[in-house]
Amino acid sequence: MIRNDPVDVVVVGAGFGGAAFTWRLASRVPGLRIVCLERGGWVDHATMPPTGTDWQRQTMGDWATYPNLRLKSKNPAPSADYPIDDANSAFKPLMWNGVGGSTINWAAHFPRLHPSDFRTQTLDGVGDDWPFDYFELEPYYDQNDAMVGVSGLAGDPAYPPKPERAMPPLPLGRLGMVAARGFDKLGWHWWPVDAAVNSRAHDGRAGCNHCGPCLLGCPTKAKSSVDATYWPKALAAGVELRTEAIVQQVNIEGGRATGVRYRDRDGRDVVQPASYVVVAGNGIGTPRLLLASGLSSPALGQNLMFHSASYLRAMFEEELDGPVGPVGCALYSHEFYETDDTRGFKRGIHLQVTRENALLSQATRLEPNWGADAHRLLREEFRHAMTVLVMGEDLPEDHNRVTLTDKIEADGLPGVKLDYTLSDHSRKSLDFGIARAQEVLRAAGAHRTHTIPLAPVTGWHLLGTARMGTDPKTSVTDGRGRCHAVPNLLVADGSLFPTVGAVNPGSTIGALGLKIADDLAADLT
Amino acid sequence: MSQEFNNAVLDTLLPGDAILPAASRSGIDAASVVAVHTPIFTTIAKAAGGETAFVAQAPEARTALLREVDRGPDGVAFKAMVAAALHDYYTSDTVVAALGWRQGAPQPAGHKLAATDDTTRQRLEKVKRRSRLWR
Repeated sequence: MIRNDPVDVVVVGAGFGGAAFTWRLASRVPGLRIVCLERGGWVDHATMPPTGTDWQRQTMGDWATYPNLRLKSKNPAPSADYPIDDANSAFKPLMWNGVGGSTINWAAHFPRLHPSDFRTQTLDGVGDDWPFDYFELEPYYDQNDAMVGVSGLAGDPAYPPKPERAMPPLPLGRLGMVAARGFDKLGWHWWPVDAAVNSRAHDGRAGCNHCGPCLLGCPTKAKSSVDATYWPKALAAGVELRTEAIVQQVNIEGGRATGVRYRDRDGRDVVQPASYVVVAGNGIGTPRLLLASGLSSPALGQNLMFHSASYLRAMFEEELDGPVGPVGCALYSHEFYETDDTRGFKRGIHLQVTRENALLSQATRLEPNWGADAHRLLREEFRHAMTVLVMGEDLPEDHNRVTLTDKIEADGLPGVKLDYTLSDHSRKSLDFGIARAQEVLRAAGAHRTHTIPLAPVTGWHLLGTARMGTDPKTSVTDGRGRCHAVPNLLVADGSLFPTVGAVNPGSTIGALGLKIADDLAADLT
Repeated sequence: MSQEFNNAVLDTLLPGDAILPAASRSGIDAASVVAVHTPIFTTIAKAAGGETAFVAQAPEARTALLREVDRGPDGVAFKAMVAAALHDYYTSDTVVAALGWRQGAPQPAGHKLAATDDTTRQRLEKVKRRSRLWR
């Protein structure tokens, strides 16, 4: 067993939350000794799949979005994955394990939560209020936007005023303009997305050239990933990042964290003492580690939220764009985002118009996908299709959870199991959203739609399993991310969300990481 | 397995039409698909009463037979073979070109996206003038 010299802060996980937290703390408190331990490594952008002719195959191999599938790949994946027992989960967890976390293979759609999302109990009698409101987080949203680099357009009536975006919005393309026609015909809200994708060169990174397969990584770094944004700045501020370091346990003695024990790249056990331990391993990795460390908290691992999701593909006679452009980033509608009691459910839905997938993906998912009918369907769809993703607000439910198994996995940690059942509430909101999506697609001119009532491979958003709150019986941390039971043990990722709204969480995860760092810095200075 | 039989199976899966080529004329490496999925090709031949019998059948009868195999106890192996054939077919330069799409890697060339037109900008202005939607 190796025992390192103590440091002030050890951070577990170099994804979005960990990166934002680490950069901000190092900037606020110069001279603080901060070490980040990341189970994976750096990814070389220059060799990412979109640079190779065999790129389409990678979507089902070592660059699949689903870690359980990557683990079956013949080649060792560049992501340091662990198996997840998801047999009892309606959604499959998607993630990346390495420097940058899931921003390596995300779609970079970058919306904020609405102010109402922070007060769901007060306003609508469901979920729980956050310990702070939108406007307390707003400066961190702004700072996170500046660090990440956002393309978009200010003036959206769906949100409180936001600063001018750093770059103009990504072009809508023919697909976006056709979709806008439909929303306009119905008089519904629509707006170009805020995207963490450069619409022109920015901050030393290239402008997007619309190559298409964002989920296979971005060779040009036009898509913001925190290995290319936060991390270079954090390292310049003096942070030490140790890769291929798999934390086995947070050491807790007498109600205080004393550091962590990790397995280094040579398989050696290393103890890293620290005054503060900050865990940012995502909504599955964080509870896995904290449960394995014996943290006592009744809410730990519970209230797993993914965002419920359905989608519709619509076929148009006119030619659209084909599999071109940032796949998740065209436009969205928040016409139905806020509660309307006449719908029969609380809270609302997010409608997101997305771009065509790669040709092989389109061909593979056809029903049937072989025979003469498949050819006909493919020609009807390829370069003539758009997708509307319906995202609903998942409410916190303690039976949706992350637990440990009895097995010790190859990474040295206990196995992890998900239990997740779609609630009647979520089903109602999705069905409502599907009906609205059909309406708008018809209004835009679609001649046929195909509905996927539940999209299982959309589990990017791993949220709520170490939630913030004031009551230690129902929450794991306080509003500053500090564990009720162990005050010098912090969480800084999506696990903290008490509720999740109906939008992608990346923007809020980064803002939270910055806020929690500021809260800690205030205590240290 | 005879090449004629292999081609007949693959051409039943991917028959081609006025635009798309049949699998056997698409440039895919049929031998490699067969090599990895030999047992399911054997199953198909047995179900047809032999390779020659399968080849001799009309396209509709071949399709019906493959559908039976797809739905039967060897469905998983059949679907795995189909996935391999689809991969080779839809990544073949011939097929991609037939669909009017660019071959090769997405980078470094990328693609063009149409600029937003004035009509769409005017539509957006209408949205901008709406009262606030958030609570």
